[in-house]
Amino acid sequence: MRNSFTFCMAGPQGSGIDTSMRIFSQIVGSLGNEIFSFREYHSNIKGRHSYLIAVIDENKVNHLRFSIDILACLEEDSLATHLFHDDISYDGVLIYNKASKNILIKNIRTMESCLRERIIEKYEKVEDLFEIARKKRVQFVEIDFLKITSHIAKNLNIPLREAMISFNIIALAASLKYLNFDFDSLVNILKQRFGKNEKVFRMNYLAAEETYKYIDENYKNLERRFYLKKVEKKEKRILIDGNAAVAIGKIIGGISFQSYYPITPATDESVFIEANQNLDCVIEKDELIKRIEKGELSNNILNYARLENGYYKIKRGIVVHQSEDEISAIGSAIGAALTGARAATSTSSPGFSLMTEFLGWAGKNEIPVVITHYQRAGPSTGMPTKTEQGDLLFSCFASHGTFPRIVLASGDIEEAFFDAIKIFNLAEKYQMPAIHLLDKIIANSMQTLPYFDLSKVKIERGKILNEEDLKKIEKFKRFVITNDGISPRAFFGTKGAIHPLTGDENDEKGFITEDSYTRSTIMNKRMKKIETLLKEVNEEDKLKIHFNKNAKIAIISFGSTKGVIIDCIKKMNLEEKVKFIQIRLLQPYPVKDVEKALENVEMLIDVEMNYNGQLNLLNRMNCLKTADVVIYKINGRPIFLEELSYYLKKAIEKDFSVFEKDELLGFYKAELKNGV
Amino acid sequence: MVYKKEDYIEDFNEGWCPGCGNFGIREACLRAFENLQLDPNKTVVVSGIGCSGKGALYYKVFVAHTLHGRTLPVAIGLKLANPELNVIVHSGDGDCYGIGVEHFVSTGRYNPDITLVVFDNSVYALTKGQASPTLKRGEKLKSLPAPNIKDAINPIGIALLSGYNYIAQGYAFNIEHLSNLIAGAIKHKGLSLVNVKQPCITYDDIHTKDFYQNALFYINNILILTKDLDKPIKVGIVKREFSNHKIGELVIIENEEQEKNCYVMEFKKANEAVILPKEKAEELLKKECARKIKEEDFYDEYIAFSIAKLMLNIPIIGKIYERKESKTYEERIAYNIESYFAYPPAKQIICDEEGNPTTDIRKILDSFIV
Ligand SMILES: Cc1ncc(C[n+]2csc(CCOP(=O)(O)OP(=O)(O)O)c2C)c(N)n1
Ligand SMILES: [Mg+2]
Repeated sequence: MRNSFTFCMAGPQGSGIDTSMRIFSQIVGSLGNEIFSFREYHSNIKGRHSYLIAVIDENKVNHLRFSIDILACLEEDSLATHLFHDDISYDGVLIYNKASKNILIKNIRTMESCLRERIIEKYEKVEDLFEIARKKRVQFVEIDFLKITSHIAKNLNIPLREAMISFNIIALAASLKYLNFDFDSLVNILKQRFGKNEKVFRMNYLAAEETYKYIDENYKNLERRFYLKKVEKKEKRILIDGNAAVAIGKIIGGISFQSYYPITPATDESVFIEANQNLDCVIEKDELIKRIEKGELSNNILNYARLENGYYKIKRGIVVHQSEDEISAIGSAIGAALTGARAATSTSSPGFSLMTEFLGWAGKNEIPVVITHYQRAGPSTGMPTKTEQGDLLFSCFASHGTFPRIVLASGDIEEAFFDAIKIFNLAEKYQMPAIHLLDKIIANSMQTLPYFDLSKVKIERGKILNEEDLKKIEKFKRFVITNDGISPRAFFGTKGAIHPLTGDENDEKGFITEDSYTRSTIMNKRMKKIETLLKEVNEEDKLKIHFNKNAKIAIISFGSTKGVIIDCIKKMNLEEKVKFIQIRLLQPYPVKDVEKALENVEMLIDVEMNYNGQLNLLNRMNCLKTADVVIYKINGRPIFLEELSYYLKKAIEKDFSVFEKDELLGFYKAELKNGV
Repeated sequence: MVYKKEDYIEDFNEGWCPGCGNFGIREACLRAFENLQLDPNKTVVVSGIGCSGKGALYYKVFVAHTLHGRTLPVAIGLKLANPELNVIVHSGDGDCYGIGVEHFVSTGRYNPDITLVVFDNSVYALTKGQASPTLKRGEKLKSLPAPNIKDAINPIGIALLSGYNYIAQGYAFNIEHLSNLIAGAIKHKGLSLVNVKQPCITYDDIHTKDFYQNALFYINNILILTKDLDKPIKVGIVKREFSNHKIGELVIIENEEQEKNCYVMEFKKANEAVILPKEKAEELLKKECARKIKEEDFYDEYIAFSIAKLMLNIPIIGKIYERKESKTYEERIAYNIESYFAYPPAKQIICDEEGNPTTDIRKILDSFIV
């Protein structure tokens, strides 16, 4: 019996498998296990096959796997799809709905036709596909979903259709029962979750009870291949997804204005912020009184403040503006940033495309606006709910002309939380638009993590002039030439700070000019900030070197591939032989630091999730160093542990014969693929 | 401190053509600022791209000369983050009703307390006189290679439908009148539009100063029909000189020649706004078929629509519509965020002097504990 396994629940979009998975993850996490789970869904509201997959272990998990140890399917589409793709493990377990067996593949209308046609070539009925699982000695646990729901319908006196809403709970209960999780604990959890709505609770309770009974009756001596272990964990832990982690990071980081136009997979972040927009903030009594006396704050604020031990607890609200499009989203964030608010907009690839003209305006006018960019699979609408890292070069170079910007990529959920704060600090200190580069994997995965260490959070706002500072200056020049390129900022609305901003080139005061001398000096001043930034930023915000710093083989990558790379190196025991260079700061590119990390490297392996190996190209452009091989994936799904270890092994052994053989994961010797 | 007009003026040359209508609009704005004693430190002019937009740098207030068509998004961000600011937008007719029209319409739904002044010269002036969205079909300006084959947009009608709640039209060279309209718009709580008719002296040889001098029609000369007429009245405004008629003149249409050379309107229904040559107006008034427009009529959407319809053809100037009670975007935000006005985004203290965050997120993060 194993307690480390992959679990997958699959069913139609909108069937509640999300809820079931949350409950499942909660249970697994609360027993002290670590979990990493991911949501795959379609750009469709209801019906299409979707699934959640989770890797469970005693130790921290950072990756997903291709092969599923326990697969629970609600209906025929998901059952046929997963069996056909052969992604169930040897000696795995299949929990399925009895009614699915006899369905003809040609009648599965929710399935995409190209997949259906591929299956029909070999199989007629869903049950025919079982031979694939049998060959792998898979254990079958058949559940009569209809019998259970009929019972519920009769008991609650509701139509069968309505009772069928509980399919997700049946699948959950069957899985938990298989794992020998005790019924009373499950009931407690269901009560917590659904207790507020008596009818829903009743239905789910019955679904769980009947499923447990069904298994007891039909599988008297059930052989259990997997179980849930209780692991002792001392530290406080959380189970959190990337969208929420980023939202909470922004909140503690002081965001007070967020704009967005709905787009997968970014929207949930903005919705989360809005749902939590009223916050307590704690300010020293004297500080607040001082500001009121100076007239910076109105006396009215005391109506929303409570004095506790020398501190005021005040309600602060975050304005969340759902705009008419992404152009307007970034435009309003820029407007808010001008007043001194920490302002951000959150989007995904097509939305970012729309923002590019304003990005240049913000760069030219040195405005610290934050763009949280969750990449998804392009080009164009692409695969809206699938993942990719295809916008690296676009994020680095989008918009016309030349201006400084920050592109910071987080490798996992925890980094994303702290980076959501850091990106504001960088944007404000260096006065430039800052792109927090993420992707669908980070957005939609959930992971157990230690409770975030909030004592590590620091806010830096850069050089800001207030009314008193401005009194000491004869004439405020917004873009005054300085040695480090950073001109102190003053907010719109601050007395004595009046100045214009324009998209045209400007002089030190901000006025339009085409004077050749002024243009050069102002442009140089703006660009100078790049040098200053690279000098000042911590090394670990530029790049992180994992494992043996002196290793001769290096893997280079960025963003969400971090987890699978780290777990893969560990699994293959390559900690001594290989180092992993995770680039975090992609604009401005930390050339010196990367060059140093690449010194004495004899083999460079690039891993990323886009067709042309964009990080490799960026690195080649900046450091004149090309990867020896590029391992890439473009089918919209995350890189799985098995795939990466296979290709990594081949690469390290210099066995390039596998080149281009695999249709799901690509691999090439960098010099073989010209002109991408 | 008392602000004088000069206090709002910066030493900046925007390079407009001598005699451009823009000068009049700017003068009117300056007078409105002075009149309302706006604090320059609390005032922002947001402008777009075009001759209209560039001139904003002349104001000695905060200025954001943004992108082509994108004034309103920036203005919304400024206003929502700091509701204390007076936010005045300067946009061109191409800027606002062409490339930026999605923002023009959508902002109406939000109703922020912002004043939008549109410099409406029927052309894309800065790019040398192409047809703008307010140029009528069939017109061939000297800058156009062929007559315009697209219909004109009706900005006043769209503003009404979109939720703007102070709507007026002015004329660039009626500075005192325009200045009052703009001051009214700034004072109005909610989203306001002042569309300003303006001759482009360089590219437009149809809507010239002379044209406007004849054709301008003050709102208080409008009549409202009090009952349905038996026979519709056809009225034209001369677009091409013919017989003894000058451009811009109003005539009752009786023959084909007149019809051909005029913009033609037909009136028939009670409660509709009508515009008539003097004698005909007097005749209707005497017969009690019509009455003069009254102040209260500016709160009547139906009448405002009928005026908007007329404005496609006739440069009517004056306040057309005002609705006072509508809640602003900021007020609606305050439904959800009680402390919003006392502690708006721009003023929040997010960290102490050592950079420690002030926001307490423990309650939120605790909900993720396993
Ligand atoms: C995205 C973009 N497209 C095109 C232009 C070129 N352009 C500059 S001004 C202008 C027209 C401005 O017309 P309008 O808004 O009516 O202003 P006016 O010059 O008439 O005052 C255009 C098309 C631009 N600056 N940006
Ligand atoms: Mg124009």
